[in-house]
Amino acid sequence: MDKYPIKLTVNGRVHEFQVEADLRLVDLLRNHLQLLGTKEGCGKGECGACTVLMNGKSVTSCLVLAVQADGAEIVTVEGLGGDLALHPLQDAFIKYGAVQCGYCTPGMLMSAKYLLDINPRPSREEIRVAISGNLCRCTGYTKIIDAIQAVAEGRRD
Amino acid sequence: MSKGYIGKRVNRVDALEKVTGKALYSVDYSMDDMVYIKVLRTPHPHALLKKIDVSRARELPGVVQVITAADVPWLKNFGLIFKDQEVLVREKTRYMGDALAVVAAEDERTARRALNLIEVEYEPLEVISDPLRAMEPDAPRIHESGQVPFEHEFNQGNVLSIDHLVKGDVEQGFAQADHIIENEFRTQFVDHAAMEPEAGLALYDPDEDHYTIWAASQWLHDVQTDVARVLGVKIEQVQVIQPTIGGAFGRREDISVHVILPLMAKLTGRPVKWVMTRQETMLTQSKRTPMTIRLKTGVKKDGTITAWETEIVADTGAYASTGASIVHQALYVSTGPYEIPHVKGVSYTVYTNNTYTGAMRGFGATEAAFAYERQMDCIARDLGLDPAEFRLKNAYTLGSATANGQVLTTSVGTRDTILSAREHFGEKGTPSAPHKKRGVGMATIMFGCGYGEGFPDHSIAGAEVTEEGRILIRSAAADVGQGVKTVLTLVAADVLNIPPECIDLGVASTHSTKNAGSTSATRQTIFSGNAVKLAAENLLGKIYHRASVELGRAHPELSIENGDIILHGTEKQMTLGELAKIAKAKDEPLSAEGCYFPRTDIDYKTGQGTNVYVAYTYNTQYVEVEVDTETGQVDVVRIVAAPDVGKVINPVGLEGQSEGGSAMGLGMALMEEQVFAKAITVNPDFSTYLIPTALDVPDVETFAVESGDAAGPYGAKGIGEPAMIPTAPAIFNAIEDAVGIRLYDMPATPEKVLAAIKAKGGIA
Repeated sequence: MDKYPIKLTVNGRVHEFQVEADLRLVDLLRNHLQLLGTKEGCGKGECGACTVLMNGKSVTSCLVLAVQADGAEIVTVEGLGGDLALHPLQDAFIKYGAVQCGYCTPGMLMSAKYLLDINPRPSREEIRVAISGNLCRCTGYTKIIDAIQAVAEGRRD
Repeated sequence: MSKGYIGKRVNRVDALEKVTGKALYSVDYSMDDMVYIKVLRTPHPHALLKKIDVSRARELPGVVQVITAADVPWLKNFGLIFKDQEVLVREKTRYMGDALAVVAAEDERTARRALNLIEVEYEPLEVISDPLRAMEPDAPRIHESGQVPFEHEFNQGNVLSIDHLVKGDVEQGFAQADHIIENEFRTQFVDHAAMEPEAGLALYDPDEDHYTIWAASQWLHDVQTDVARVLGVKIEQVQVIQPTIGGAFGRREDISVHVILPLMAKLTGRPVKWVMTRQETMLTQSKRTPMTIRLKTGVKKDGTITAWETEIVADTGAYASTGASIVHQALYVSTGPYEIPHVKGVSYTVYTNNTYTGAMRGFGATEAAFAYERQMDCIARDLGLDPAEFRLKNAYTLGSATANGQVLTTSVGTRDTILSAREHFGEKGTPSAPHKKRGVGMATIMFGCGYGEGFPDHSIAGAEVTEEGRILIRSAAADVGQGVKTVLTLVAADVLNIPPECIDLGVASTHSTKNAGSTSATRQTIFSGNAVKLAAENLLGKIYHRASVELGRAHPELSIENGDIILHGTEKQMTLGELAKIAKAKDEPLSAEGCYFPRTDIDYKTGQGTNVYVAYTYNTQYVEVEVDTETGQVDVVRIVAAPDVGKVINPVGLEGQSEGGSAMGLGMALMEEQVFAKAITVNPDFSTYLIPTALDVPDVETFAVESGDAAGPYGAKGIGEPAMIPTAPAIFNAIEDAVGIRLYDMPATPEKVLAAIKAKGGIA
């Protein structure tokens, strides 16, 4: 199969690749960049586990082709925190017990980040809507919403 | 008596790696020079395999190896209890998940292409998708004779097991009753839908003749045993390493990738990786056991229950897995946590060509509770009794005997759960629109923790002081997301009086940890919790002994606080790490083990025993729904849960389980069903198999009841399964309260609700 050159920024670093047309972004991130934090739960864009930010918007990376990400800025869960500290969302997820098995967590965090980027003071209902595309089978969502709400309200407890 | 770590709100010990994306799940393991596996599944759920030709697949460039059953005739069958599953189909298929061939290739795309080049000829047989058809004498046999009886009476034909329950004399009981109420309830096939699909990696070392497998499992040591048996090698030759696990709920009790991975690692001589898609996981892995449960209850005018009769017909699908145990557990708890002197029951576990059913959260108790809590509510309504008062009148107290004849001598918080949930629930709210109706429903359930029924159940743990002065706990207890690692850390911290941050849990693997039993049966807090407590106490004794020998002092001059050995009245101190070095040098390392191994019993002929389970968790939930009378949609607006867990060790974890369990119960009640058409799965993805999203689940309020004095550490019991069991019947009871329709089958989809409303002539 022919290969296509792409250039994209992932978590602040620029990368160049030669990729086949049918390579998915989730596979580029996991297999070519060893960023294993992004998970695949269904491969059909139905569960949200593979959510990353692409040019500031949340996308299901299993439905994005790597060639579509040419020239894009991608942020994954590995790019959330800094070197010295966790992102407030990561911190809150820990403190509020929003993590159980953790498989949905990276995608959930990215959806939460997108929400707070475009709506810094969401209502509880708006939080529910924002994460409605991220399936979680363990938590029942209550503590995930608590954590996101705490960050939105600027609570640092 | 806790020193202060039990019941504290702490961060999960493994949360940091999960929020940073550093936790490694089965799918995240890779090695250089890997080959990728794909498995050919059958399109025919019941067919003779006439011919299979893999030659074209073998010729495809990039394909490393292709095998069928003919290439590996020495492989034994596997299965959790009954070994009735083949690794590769030899003569006939029994469900659409059966494996016909395994392809190993340089990359996944090539492996998938190779599957399409395999040619198979089948002779279709009658597909049996209804247990009632399976039970007919002229129905074709799905399994040939040679099934292991294993202490269960079994029939000829497709009935795997028939089980009985006899307590007292039901004829006498019914004769005493003023009313006799009979109903039939049905539960459906449910998928576990854990967010992580099946995957794994395996390696074979030809010099050592040794296999290493990285693949999630609820029971490390059982997988090791079964894999070794199937491959025909010694247990020591197989090592299973536990990755981080992305949910389980029962699905990871059975072998999935665990045999084919090491097999192909040896045959190809290379590391082998297999990642199942969601679709493949849903098509091939086990399901919840659907049951038809008939209940007949005799009750006096004043609400006293005098007799109870149960009949269950259950579909175990193509293979036994734990089906028979699930169904007879449903039978044994089919009366609910109510004191009834006369009980009779029978259950039939039946093979069909549907996907095999296995352990799923509740293990029969969930299905039974749907039936008995609906029955209790129907009775209360029919007799004009208050639902809570009717339950309180009959609910277990200390000294009550279960349907299995076990007299409950400790930790019976049943009534407290009803009182607490009722009080915390308060009043029904007002509908959000004129065409919507609000309803409130309750359900009270019981769950026996541990395998029970005389099935040997134990957990072994290790505890040691490292030279750095940290505590290392060795436990094979699988953390599937429920948080057992945090519970074990808190228990060890409490015994040793050392902060949880100074305690590490070693990697769980068959070589570095001993058998802790499965993460199932809501047993880990009790069994591994006790094992860790015992190990920590043994360790503490060794620390005290070594410290007193080295420093020549004992309590009260000598104490151990926060990682240091302190001599009061002097400045002499030693760190635990220093003590550990000294102990090691003297050939008595600071290392200890603990094992918890209680005994339970049952007589399978009657289902009676004296200690059938070591502990029972009770849970009452009050649920408020809002029913849209124009569309049939049911929204759950409130859930209040009051679980009796004996003693809360990890409050954040307890709430998490209660909230997540309620969501799972809600899904089962309202939207989940794995649908089969002639044993073919019709909806193997998340757009057609719906699980609750954040828009479906309300905030769940949890108020723990601590009845204390239970078998677990500090008087604790488990929560994992009982957390989800009351929700579905409570929702159905609430629907009846809202719109006066009586539903008996799960799930209560909008279509069913609307049809029932219309059949009733609409809502006044």
